[in-house]
Amino acid sequence: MVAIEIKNVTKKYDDVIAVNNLTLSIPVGSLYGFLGPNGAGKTTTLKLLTGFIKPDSGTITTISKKVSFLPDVPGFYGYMTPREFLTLCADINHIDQKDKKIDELLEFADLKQKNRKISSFSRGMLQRLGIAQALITSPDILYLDEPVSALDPIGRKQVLEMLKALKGNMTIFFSTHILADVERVCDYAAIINNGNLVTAGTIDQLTSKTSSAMIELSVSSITPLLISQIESEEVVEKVVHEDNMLYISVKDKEKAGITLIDIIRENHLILYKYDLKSTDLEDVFVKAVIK
Amino acid sequence: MRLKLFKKEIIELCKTPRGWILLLLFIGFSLVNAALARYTPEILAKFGDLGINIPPATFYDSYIQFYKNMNSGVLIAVIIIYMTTVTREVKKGTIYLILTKDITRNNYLMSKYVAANLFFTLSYIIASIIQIAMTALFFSSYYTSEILPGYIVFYLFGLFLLNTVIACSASYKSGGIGAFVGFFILLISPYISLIPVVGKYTPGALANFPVNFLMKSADFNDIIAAVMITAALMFLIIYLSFMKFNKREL
Repeated sequence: MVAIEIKNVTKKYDDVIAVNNLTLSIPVGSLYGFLGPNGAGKTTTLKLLTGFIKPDSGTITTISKKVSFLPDVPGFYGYMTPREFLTLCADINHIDQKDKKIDELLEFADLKQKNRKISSFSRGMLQRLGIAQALITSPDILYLDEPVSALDPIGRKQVLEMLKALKGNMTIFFSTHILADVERVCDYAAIINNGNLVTAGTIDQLTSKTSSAMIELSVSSITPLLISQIESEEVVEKVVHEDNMLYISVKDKEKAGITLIDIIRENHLILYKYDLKSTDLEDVFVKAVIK
Repeated sequence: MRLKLFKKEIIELCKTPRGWILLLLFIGFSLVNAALARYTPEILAKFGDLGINIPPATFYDSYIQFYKNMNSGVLIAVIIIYMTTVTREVKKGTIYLILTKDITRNNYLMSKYVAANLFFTLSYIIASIIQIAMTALFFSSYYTSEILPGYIVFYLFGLFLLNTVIACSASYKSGGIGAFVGFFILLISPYISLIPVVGKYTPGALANFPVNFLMKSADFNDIIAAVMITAALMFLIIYLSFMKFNKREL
């Protein structure tokens, strides 16, 4: 089932196309990473999703109106304590048993002991409070704009752990330019560049979409004839011989696998090692953005 | 309007310097107006013969000083403090957290207007009472029938200025527009009101009226049209700001 359906959405600012004909389906309960370099159109997309700006064309439909949002730099009333701020949010939304809920959220955000003014908070604490305030309404959909980008490694880890803990309870759509974070917690990702959607799917789908790969091969005898035989194959891009190992760049890892095994068999060689280095999201991202 | 959000606005004014600065200016000026009016002629006389004839101070001078300081001090602070009412929240990002809760843009903006108007009204009442009390302290007479109409007319001018500045902040990205419009109303509109025939119907006429009325150079009937027009214009500006704010991209 789809939680958020974005169909042919375009948004322009004067002559600049911030988002161009974006079409994307976000499954219910998914933790969806929205990747892109700075200025790719991520924040504009999130503002379109949250209704703060209107698309020039296209439609956005969501399965629920219970949505929450955390902007990239969340602003709080610095004179309040986290409990006071969450109480304000709870009161606005007429939350039942608000004290219990606030206690739970402060615990979840590791802010229960932080009963001082928000103005004295670190970026990491602000971000965790931002997630807590977003959860006070028990949303079905949670939008987060670059929730970890400005945090130190500890802060990042804490926020990502929070997102991981929420996985499955709601649909989470978050933008980032940090690939490792998406790989770490997301089950889906989309890559946007210059306002255009480059690719989208599960993390496995995205990484397998890139058919090129590196194969590490070790056989009983590596001769110049063997190397030239491998190089002559159409599927092979490059062969490097180093320390009794062959590092073979291939265009298509499936076809290359069959071809290389055939060559080994024809040459009556013993196969010591065959290691297919899988493509990670970084390769997909770099290729998508450079394209 | 959501009561909780309105309460937050009031608490914010009490807990942040903005509210205190405004209240202290209101109170501070109203504490010194009478003394300034009472002793200025004596202080000037100590400088010797300046070639000008300074009449002895009367309690009227205390009220004239009140309106002068309101114009040159308090209302300038009102512009500076309220010109970023909404733009500040957009810039800080607090508006995104609030508007993604169960609250409409109308509720949000209404809370801002009501809190600001209430705070201004209470501060103005406190300042007016102090003004009367201090005048009584420094002068033998302290009240005349011209005082109350002047207070009310000037109060409306203050409200018009305040609400126009907030309206600009809700309608435009930059707080500078609110400042420009605010200072135009404060500094230029009183001169526009001097334009023959039409000037007396403009909001600026409200700024000049209290002193003229005290000096008996204006009649209350002269200001009624300007009062009605200013009130109508103020409500129209507020209404338009709601329309603009609802369509505004944040």
